[in-house]
Amino acid sequence: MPIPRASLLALVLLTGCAPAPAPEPREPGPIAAPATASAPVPPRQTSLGRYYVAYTAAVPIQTNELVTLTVRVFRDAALRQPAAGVALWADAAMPAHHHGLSLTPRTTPIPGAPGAFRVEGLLFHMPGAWELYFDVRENGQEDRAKFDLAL
Amino acid sequence: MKADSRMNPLSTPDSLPRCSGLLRVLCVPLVFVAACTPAPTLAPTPSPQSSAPSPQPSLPFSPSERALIATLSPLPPPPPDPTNRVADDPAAARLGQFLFFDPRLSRDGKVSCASCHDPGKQFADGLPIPEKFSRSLRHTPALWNVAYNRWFFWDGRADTLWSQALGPLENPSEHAGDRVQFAALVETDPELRRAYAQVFGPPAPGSAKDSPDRVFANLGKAIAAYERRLVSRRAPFDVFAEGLADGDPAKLAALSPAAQRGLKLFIGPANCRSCHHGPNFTDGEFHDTGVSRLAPGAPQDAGRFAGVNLLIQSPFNSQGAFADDPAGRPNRPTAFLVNSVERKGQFKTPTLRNAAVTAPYMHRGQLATLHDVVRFYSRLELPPAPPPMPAPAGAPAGHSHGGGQEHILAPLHLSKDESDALVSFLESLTDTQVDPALLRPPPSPWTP
Repeated sequence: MPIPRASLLALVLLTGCAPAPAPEPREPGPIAAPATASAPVPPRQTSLGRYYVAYTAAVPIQTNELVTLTVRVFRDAALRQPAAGVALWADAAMPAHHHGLSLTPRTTPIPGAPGAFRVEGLLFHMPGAWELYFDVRENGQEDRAKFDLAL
Repeated sequence: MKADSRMNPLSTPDSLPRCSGLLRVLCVPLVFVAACTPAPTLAPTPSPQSSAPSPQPSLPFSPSERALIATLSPLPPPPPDPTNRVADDPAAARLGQFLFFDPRLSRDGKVSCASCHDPGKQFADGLPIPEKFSRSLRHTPALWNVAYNRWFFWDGRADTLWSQALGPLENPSEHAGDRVQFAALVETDPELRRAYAQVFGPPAPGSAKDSPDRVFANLGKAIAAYERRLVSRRAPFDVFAEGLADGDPAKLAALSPAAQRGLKLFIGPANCRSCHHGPNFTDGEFHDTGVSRLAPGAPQDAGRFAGVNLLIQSPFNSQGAFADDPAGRPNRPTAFLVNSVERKGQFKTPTLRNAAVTAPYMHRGQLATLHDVVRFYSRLELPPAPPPMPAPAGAPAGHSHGGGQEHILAPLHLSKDESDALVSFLESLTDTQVDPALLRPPPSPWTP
């Protein structure tokens, strides 16, 4: 039978009334899988292109716990030429929060491993979007690799 | 509601009476009116024989909300404290409990730890500041869950629970005692001498007795062993979180619908989790919320900036000779602590567990009730901030460029219902159950 016009009108008015799912809460950000020795984060090239930096953590990175990282610096994308003789500084910040770390990490070269460093004393005290910075210094020049870290 | 009537809205369900021409106009829309009523998620109805009230329905929680709730509960038992080798020694805890209530640990013989940390008042005093001692002091924190802290005092000037106890004991505005007096007391009082020997053993080789510094540190370690027992970790919220995981309706009933709405706000748009995260509801660090500006006449307080300087200079910090486990020193947080001007005006994020019973709030007790706290964050109506300090020359990008209020704070503009829901949620974090024997001095400081 033909659709009554009044029904159609009511149908149009009421389709907006279809039961909606409960609104999703605002997502505070993904809980990303942190780098561990078995699942390293892909290496990043420094901003001026001179080095490639990779890091691993023996224990998954968590908020509110002191974190130790092993950082390795290379001169090539294939990660075959360790950057011997460079110095490394590590830092981190939450750009959206306009603040950095509450503690100052300590970076020490690993003996017998050129271009390899242990970074201790990282404390990611708040959940959210962090940026991890590794500044490589050589011959008076500095080059930075930046990693995103979602906690 | 039959599925076929939803899928084909123009067909009339068999269950409806046959509609004559005019009614047919209304029948189909009526189907939609019925569909508009949201179906609540109901817990299973209880058996008719049960006289218990039927469980409250649980609001739906998305997978991401559940993941966030799982980070807030359960709270594990307190972590070990390697700097205090008697931290978990029951005999040390008994001595510490005895000392906690002992007014002889003060210049005038009238002040004990319990004078401000009153067990009858959640180990606090319920006052904004303990004015009977000094107007320069800050609000007395409650002692629940102090075993989980990384830093102690509002300004973090101690980095272990045992060294925190030493501060008030010698503070001229508090106990006003001194370590020589305390060491003499331990030596001359037979009960204390017996308990001290029981816990700490004979003096170091080559000395007739422990130095006053050593006795002082040890008294702090005994008091810390007692305070480590003041743990709050099984609140209605924790029961609810378990219920979310295992679906037990009785556990889901632990939180009222209002508290559940408050929980959703807490982990969602109110963004409280930025600082109050983890199962102890604190990042353990320091922030400037701007609350100092509520009382412009209050004494200037550099907060964390002053605290770091005091901590670094203290011989009783975790890097010093009185901290046990010397091999672990390079890995304690204090080993990485460097002061900076950004720390001025910052105060420690407290736990929210038992917040509902530990009013008033903030470092000078500026906010009297939880509703006042929620209103503070909702409106953020403050006098103008001082101008931000310029970035120090040569500071690499990514550093915060000066003190001032936390940038992430923005007025929440909560409605009254939302504010009430948040307060209901905070009230669900209350668990004050503790062994009653811990609430009064033991009959003796030594363990039979």
